[in-house]
Amino acid sequence: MHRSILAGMIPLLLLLAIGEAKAHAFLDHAEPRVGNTVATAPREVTLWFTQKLEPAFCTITVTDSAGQRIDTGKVRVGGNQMSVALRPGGSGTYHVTWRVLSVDTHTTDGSFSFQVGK
Amino acid sequence: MGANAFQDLETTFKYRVFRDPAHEFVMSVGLSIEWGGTGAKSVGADPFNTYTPTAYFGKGLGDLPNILSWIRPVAITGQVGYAIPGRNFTRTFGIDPDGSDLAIDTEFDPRVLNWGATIQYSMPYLKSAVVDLGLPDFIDHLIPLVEANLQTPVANTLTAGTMTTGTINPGAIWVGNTFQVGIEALVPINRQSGTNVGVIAQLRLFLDDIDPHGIGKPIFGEAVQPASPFGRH
Repeated sequence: MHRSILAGMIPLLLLLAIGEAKAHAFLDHAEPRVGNTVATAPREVTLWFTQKLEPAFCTITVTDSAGQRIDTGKVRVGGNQMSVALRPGGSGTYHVTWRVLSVDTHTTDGSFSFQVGK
Repeated sequence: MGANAFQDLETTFKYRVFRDPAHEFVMSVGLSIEWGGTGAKSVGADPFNTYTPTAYFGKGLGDLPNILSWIRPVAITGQVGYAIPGRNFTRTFGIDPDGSDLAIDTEFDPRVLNWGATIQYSMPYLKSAVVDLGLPDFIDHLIPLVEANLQTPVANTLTAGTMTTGTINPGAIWVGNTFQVGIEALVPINRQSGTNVGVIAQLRLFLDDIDPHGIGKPIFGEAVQPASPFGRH
């Protein structure tokens, strides 16, 4: 009988572990750091991922506390890192939304916020 | 006294029927088959197949408002399955203790409701979506969890009874790029479930990351699949 999810998964992972992997390109860290506060508005946002990225399918959108988009839209991708420049902005909560395609052909997405000047 | 041998081989076919990324909710259905006779009788492996249609769900709390941001890395998963043995009873033959007569022992094989849930806290999600606390890298890959696995006989219970048995399993998973490892304690919920605390460990290989164009290539569908930073079951 199925005694445990863990026990039941062992034969599954050996035989059929396809399509439910939990790795792929996830956000490792960011600058400004996720959920942290910086004194002045940054000139760019940079994200580091756990795998190399496919440049053609990677996007970052940054909005300010008024919900206005303040990124330039020109995303730079190299290896496992991508950046986007920001227009000058004020203080408040900035929201970053990202979507990437890693070289293992899986898409991932996510979002986070950071604070400016509070 | 312990025993070392393989249990029956078990396979699961699982299909995702609903997904709502905005609310981090997913529901799947599956069919698990325990292939009778592939394991050792010495560790209780059944000689007959058991078929278990199962419904699964998972819900992340990432859609909670910012004021509750610290519990956004929590996820809850659950499953309910109905285990149907391939035969209704098992008959064994022996000799009476006094050696005079043939004894026939009939044990009914019950249909069992397999149900359970997990609650887990994803440190990778905390770091990537809520707040980066600058913790050691090892901690940032951990997912502490508590799992409950319960079995309740519900039909053909003449000899098995209807008492629920199972375990509560506190533990943790460490998620890497190409593998995850997990370890849990097994705490019986009653004497019928066991009298000692056990331990179970898991090594899970992400074949589609290790060899995406070989054994990790999808059998069906597109190669591109959205994913989540939760190390969920």
